[in-house]
Amino acid sequence: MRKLTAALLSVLLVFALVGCTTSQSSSENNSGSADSDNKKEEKGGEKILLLNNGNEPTSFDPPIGFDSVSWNALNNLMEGLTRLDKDDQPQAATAEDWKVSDDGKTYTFTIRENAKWSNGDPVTAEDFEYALKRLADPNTASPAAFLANFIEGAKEFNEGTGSADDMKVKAVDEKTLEVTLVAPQNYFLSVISNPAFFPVHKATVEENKDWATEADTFVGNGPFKLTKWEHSSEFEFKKNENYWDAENVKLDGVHWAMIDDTNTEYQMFKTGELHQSDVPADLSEQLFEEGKAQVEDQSGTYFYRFNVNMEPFQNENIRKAFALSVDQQKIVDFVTKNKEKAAHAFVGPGFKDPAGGDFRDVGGELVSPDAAKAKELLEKGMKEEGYDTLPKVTMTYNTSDTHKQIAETMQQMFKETLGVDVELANMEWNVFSDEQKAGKLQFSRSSFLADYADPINFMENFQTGHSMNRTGWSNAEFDKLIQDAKAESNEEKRFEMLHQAEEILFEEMPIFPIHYYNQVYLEADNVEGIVRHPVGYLELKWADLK
Amino acid sequence: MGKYIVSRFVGALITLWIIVTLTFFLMHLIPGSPLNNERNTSEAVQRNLEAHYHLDKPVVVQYGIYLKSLLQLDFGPSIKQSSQSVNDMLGQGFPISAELGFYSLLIAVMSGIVLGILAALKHNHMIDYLAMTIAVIGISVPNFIMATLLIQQIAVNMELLPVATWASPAHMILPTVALATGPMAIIARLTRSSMLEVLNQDYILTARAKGISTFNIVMKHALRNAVLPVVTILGTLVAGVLTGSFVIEKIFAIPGMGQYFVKGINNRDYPVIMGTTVFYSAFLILMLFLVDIAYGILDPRIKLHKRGD
Amino acid sequence: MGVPNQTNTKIAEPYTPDEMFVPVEQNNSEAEMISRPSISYWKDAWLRLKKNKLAMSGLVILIFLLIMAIIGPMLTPYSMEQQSLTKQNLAPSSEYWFGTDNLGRDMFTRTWYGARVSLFVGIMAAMIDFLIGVLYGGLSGYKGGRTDNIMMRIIEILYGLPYLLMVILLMVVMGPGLLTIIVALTVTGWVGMARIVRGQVLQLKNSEHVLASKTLGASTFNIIRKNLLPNTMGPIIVQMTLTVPTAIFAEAFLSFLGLGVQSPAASWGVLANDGLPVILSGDWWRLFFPAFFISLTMFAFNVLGDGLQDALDPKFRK
Repeated sequence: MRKLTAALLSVLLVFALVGCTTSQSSSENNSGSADSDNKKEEKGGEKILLLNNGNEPTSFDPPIGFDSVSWNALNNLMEGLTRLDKDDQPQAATAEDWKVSDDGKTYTFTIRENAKWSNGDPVTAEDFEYALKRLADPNTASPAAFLANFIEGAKEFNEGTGSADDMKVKAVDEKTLEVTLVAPQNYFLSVISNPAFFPVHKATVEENKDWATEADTFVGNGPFKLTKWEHSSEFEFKKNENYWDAENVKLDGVHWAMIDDTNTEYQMFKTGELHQSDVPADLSEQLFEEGKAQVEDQSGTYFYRFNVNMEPFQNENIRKAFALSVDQQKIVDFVTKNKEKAAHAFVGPGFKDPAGGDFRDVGGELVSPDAAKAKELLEKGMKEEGYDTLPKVTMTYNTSDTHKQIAETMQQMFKETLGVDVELANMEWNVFSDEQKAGKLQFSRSSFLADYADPINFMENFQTGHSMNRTGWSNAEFDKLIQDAKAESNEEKRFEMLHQAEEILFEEMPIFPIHYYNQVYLEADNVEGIVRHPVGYLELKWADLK
Repeated sequence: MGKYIVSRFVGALITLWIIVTLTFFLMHLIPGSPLNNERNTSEAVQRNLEAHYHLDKPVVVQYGIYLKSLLQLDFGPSIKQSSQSVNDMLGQGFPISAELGFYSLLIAVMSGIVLGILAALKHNHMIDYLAMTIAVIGISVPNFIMATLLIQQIAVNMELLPVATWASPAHMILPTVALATGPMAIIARLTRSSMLEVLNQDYILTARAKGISTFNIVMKHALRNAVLPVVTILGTLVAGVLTGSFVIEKIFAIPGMGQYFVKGINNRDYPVIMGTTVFYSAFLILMLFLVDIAYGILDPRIKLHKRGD
Repeated sequence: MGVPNQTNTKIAEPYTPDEMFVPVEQNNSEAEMISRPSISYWKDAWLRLKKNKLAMSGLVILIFLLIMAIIGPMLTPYSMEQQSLTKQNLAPSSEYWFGTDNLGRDMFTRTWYGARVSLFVGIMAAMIDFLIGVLYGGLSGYKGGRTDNIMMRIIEILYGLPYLLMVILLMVVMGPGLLTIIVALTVTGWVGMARIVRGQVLQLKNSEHVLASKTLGASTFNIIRKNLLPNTMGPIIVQMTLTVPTAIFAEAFLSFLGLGVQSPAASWGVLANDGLPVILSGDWWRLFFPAFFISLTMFAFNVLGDGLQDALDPKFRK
């Protein structure tokens, strides 16, 4: 018996050792639960919005955290020269006013007198100059640095051929900032609402390179301030009293959870632990019917890339045959069921041309399902290449349930329309991305989300050798149209060029679209004023809880 | 004994070094990179990033650099999540995972052993079948289904407990149960089976013949021998469960360290991959060592070391 | 599945009580061996197993599942991949016996098609467990000392290496397919078994009957096979039955990573994975059928395993 006790004790000892290390954390957790009780009490008096960020933000340092898990939150902790309004148009924000030179290239911004950092310091033109040069600085190594390329000298600085001094951003005086562009761009005011262009508090950044990693050291200038950040667990915003427009900020704070599982998020939404949720797979139909799910556009396209250097897709007619076999409307109606718009061209809707028309409406549908024609094109293509049987086609997608279902449906469509048996293959994201970039995939799933609100952001991807091209496709006329459009100051002509470019793209069909993206979400009844932009990040400045 | 411990310790260090080396070269062998980016970063930026994380150097040199920092117990920065170092991730995540895992194992071991003993004592009676049914369900319903079902039924439909996160003791109940069912079923099955074998040994029959009560027979004689397979699997179970379950932590939004095992690899975040591997392996090796020690205590006939070895 | 197979092959020979009394031929080389004639051991086991109704029902269920895996997909007019987008998520009916999934595919056909993959993977995994795990563990435990030390360190290394990393490498090197799955399961699938067997052997190898055999000059292999293994059968069988569902779900995980059978083909594990959202939406049949058959398989293996343990346990012999 004594030995048995000894044995049990030895096992227990192991547990006890661990138990000791955890008892500390459990006492912390107890105080944590007290906190949450307080939170509930506060909820009575204070307006705290409960949101889910999904994951730990990559970084709250503006040029580093180039993704939605960082920038959706950061968009409300800081503010650039402009901020997008409820209609997605740029409005004066930290800058109260600006002048544009006659050639459309030089912008002179006047920064608000009462624009302040969360620590009380005034926001200065120097902070902006410092921040924008920091964005382009190759030593910052910002993945968003290319957004600064509109500014003269930024590209050279970033690529190491120019210097910071040659980048044309200058603090003329404490409150005046002058920026010179490479070419006149009407959408520049909208681009600078992007978090990459947020100012940083120069003294803080210079003093502490890790300033953006903890709530204590973070300094922002937005409607909210960061008051708590428990990594990989949660973070908290409180209203920023130093914000210039604080009187229009109605929320007292925002609590962000990090829940990576859509089912859990939805279940927490159902029990009132979250004010907002994504829609879990298989529930969208039901939630739309009940009128609970809401939709907002998102500028971006879900599409498939052909590799024009791999058989049989070197042949244009075979590419077209595949493209015309896919019924996009069926896919959004029966497979994704998220009320996405079926895509029949590449540039998504929502971009107004100078005449007030929507780029998409004016451009029209450039590819639509046509079974008879698809069959004809396949025969023609096979004859051109001398194929008796089509070389094996493998469709590759990165691992995800939705991608799988779309691929399975397309596979069936190819079989029904063309009589072709296509094989499916899925890959882990990093392997997939690596192989797609290296041109090793024959026929692969792709997506594009716009970084700034202009059709050229979509079209520039398919220039010869562009890092987003990944099809091996090259067309000199297309390349020239894009380069010309980038330098063109006449908006009408510029839009015309972009339309022409898009037509060329679909005449040769190195890609074909499935659907345009959207944002589907559930929101508690008492929440109002949250703004979601088609291009841009979550906007909580005007949010309120009734 | 002391000599044995020293030799095992040296062995552990060598094992750990082999794991570190293999993992290091394995992760550089698979496609993808932590700097993999969908957008077009300029070459200068790419070069700077690579230089900063030493990725521009030959893999062997990187390996040397890593070993050097590892000797100082510095796991390095996370490349993907710049706000945390790998040491922070493990330091913050492990206590939470360990707490969850500890309670789960406690439930699993206690209820598993009790179920197993009852089943063996009432061999081929109702209790045996009932225990088996529980075990079959526990094993064949995977924990992601168990977890989702528990949340839906208990938290959403009955509103008895909170859905997820790790805020209060009430939040801990569902994930603990979801994590415990699998191990509990395994332990119950193993206990039952070895208990059955032991109960037919001569010395147990002798004890019975002497009129010792069933309870005393089980506690004093049978359990000690029957628990050996359970102790065997406890080694790996403790290491696996205390360092976090990716599935359970994801579903219940628990900020433990389980997530880093998968996220590290998905993001090709090399320092995170190495950090989690080293931590887990060291823990595992320790546990397996304790299991071997426990063998000797449970059954003195087991000798892993020769005298003077 | 190794054990039932072995028993099955032995029953072909006619068995009559008289045989028990046939005098054993004199054989000097074996005269000193202390072990029962093995044929009698397996025959005896089979007789005992046949009497165990629960165990036999497990065997019947397994045979039923195997037959359905072969003929099930042929019983319906639908093919495994045929979609009908207008007939999504239909509840079970006379037209679709197990209902349809979210792309309008027949769940009955898919379930039994999935049975082929899952049962194959489950049985293969159990065999790997038995063949590699038992041998490795048995050898390690019996040899002890330095051999044991090195063999156990190798196991620690296999445990320590990140499995996901090895799996991704496997996929890149081998590409998707069932073979890749089997290889992925072989890499580490047997280590749990090896450790359990080693633990048991460590305990048993100093018992009297083993020592006696040893003194009388039995070979290592024969001692492991005839003295040690029969006494370790309980934990071995339990471990094997546990391997089956573990492997079925591991296959789903590996398929999710792109290693296994490619869509639209499916396995029980993949179907159960795909069916998870129905816990929220209520289309229960998409999760219930695959999950039910996984549990049923598990149940069958377990009762059969328990029956086998009773049947094989030398101490139960009268």
